[in-house]
Amino acid sequence: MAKRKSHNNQPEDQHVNEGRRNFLKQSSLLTALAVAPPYLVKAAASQLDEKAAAYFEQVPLSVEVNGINHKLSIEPRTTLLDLLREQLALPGTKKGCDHGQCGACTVHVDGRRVLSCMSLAVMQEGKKVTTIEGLADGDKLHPMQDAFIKHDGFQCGYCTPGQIMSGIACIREGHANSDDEIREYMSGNICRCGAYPNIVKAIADVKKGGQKI
Amino acid sequence: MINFDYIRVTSPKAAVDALSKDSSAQWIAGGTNLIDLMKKGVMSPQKLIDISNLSLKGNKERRWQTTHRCHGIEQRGG
Repeated sequence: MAKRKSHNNQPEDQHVNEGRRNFLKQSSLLTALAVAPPYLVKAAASQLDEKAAAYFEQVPLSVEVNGINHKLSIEPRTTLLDLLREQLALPGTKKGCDHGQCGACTVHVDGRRVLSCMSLAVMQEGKKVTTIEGLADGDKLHPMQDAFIKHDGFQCGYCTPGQIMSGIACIREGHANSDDEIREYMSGNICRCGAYPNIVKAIADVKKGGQKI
Repeated sequence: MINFDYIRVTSPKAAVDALSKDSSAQWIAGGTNLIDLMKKGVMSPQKLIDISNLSLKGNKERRWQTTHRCHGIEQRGG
């Protein structure tokens, strides 16, 4: 009889227990909040704020990348490099130092070479961005790409997209008239393998070839 | 990098007004220095005022951009 009674009472007990458990949970949370140092509470609150803010702080961006118009929604702090690599799936542009020192992230914006790691994506509104992926014409490589292959202008290849973008701009700017000048105007692009002599040869060759680039 | 508000201004006056209204704002032109410092947490402006599209002198078009040679500010020939 007693057994049956307790069996019958079980749901009620559970309910009571759950109520007590919830109460304990809540009250201990409240106590924790009350005794927690204010900076912790503030940090937790600001983390929540940040998550909510990230959602609301997206700004619209319209930019042309390699001839394709993109209408995007991004956070203002996104760099052009991160936009290209992570949102537009164009990983040809490399992240070397991410501090504007190495030149691996060089792209063209409205025809000029810029460091995409030091440029905010949101500032490229209405501009035309060209990356290494946008150089070749179908299966036909850009003359500079051909020249890099011909002259063996790389070993590991990590700096190569930046070198090629920079090399093209170097010629367009009219700064490729001698080997010394090429070296000077390519000095923003670092190559850790030390392929510099061949990079200079490749650029000089394209310049000498006189093709439209 | 902490997040921030971003506005674009179209006149020097608007740029000055926006900056004077907000003590935690910064102008941004090329960004080479500022973005670097923001990445390192040295600078943490709450608002960036983009002045890169302002033409700066009379009818001569000049623009600001992050480039290799200048590390900061460079002008485009007008």
